[in-house]
Amino acid sequence: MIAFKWLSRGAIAPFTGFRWPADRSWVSAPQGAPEGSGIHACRVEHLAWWIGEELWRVELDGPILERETQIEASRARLLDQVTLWDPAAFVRACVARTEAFAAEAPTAELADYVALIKTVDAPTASFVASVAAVAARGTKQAFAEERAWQARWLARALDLREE
Amino acid sequence: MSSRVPDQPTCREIVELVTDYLEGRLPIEARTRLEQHLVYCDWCRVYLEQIRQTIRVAGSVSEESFGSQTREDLVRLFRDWKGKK
Repeated sequence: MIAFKWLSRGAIAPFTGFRWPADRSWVSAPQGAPEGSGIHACRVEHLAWWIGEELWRVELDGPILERETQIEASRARLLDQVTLWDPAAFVRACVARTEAFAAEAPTAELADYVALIKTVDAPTASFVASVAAVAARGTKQAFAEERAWQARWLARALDLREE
Repeated sequence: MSSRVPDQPTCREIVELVTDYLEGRLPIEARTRLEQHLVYCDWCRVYLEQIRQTIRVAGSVSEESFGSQTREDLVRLFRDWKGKK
């Protein structure tokens, strides 16, 4: 299965510090490791929850565990980096969304989010826009809905397809 | 701002969970929420790295690696600290 993986600069896993080989060699999770210790990756719909510095297309092998915001496999390899990923363009999209929320519901709180989102990086912009969605719409599910909107934006802008 | 967010921990909650996270004791759901918080929170990322470094450094220090003066200083500091409690 082809999926996606966010990594820190240099193909480094952001939470474990593991440096992924970029030569397409396979990496396996430790045998008998506890639940959740496999190799995590994203379907397109999961992307906005895990934004990082580099986005890679990955091939997963073996049974796939499906979770709400990620998938997990026992074996994976990096295929190629998504070079179209442009954090500044993503931030601009989140700023525009937050400005639209503030126009929809002109409150001091939303004005604060508009000011804030113009100063932050892509992962934080994703979060701030999602919080602004909750503030504007008054429903908790607006948070996940906004992440879903962002994932669709990423899929379109970066021409991403699962295979 | 984080009070707006459903099912996401606050920075204060992250601090309480960090030891279990580093020792691999968090259930997958809690671990996922913690890592999603780390994606956008610089402060918690820095805090987590500080704890990691502390564990690394403290784990490599043995009693024998201190000189006698350092050992005496530490014992005195510990006694003073206990006395103040």
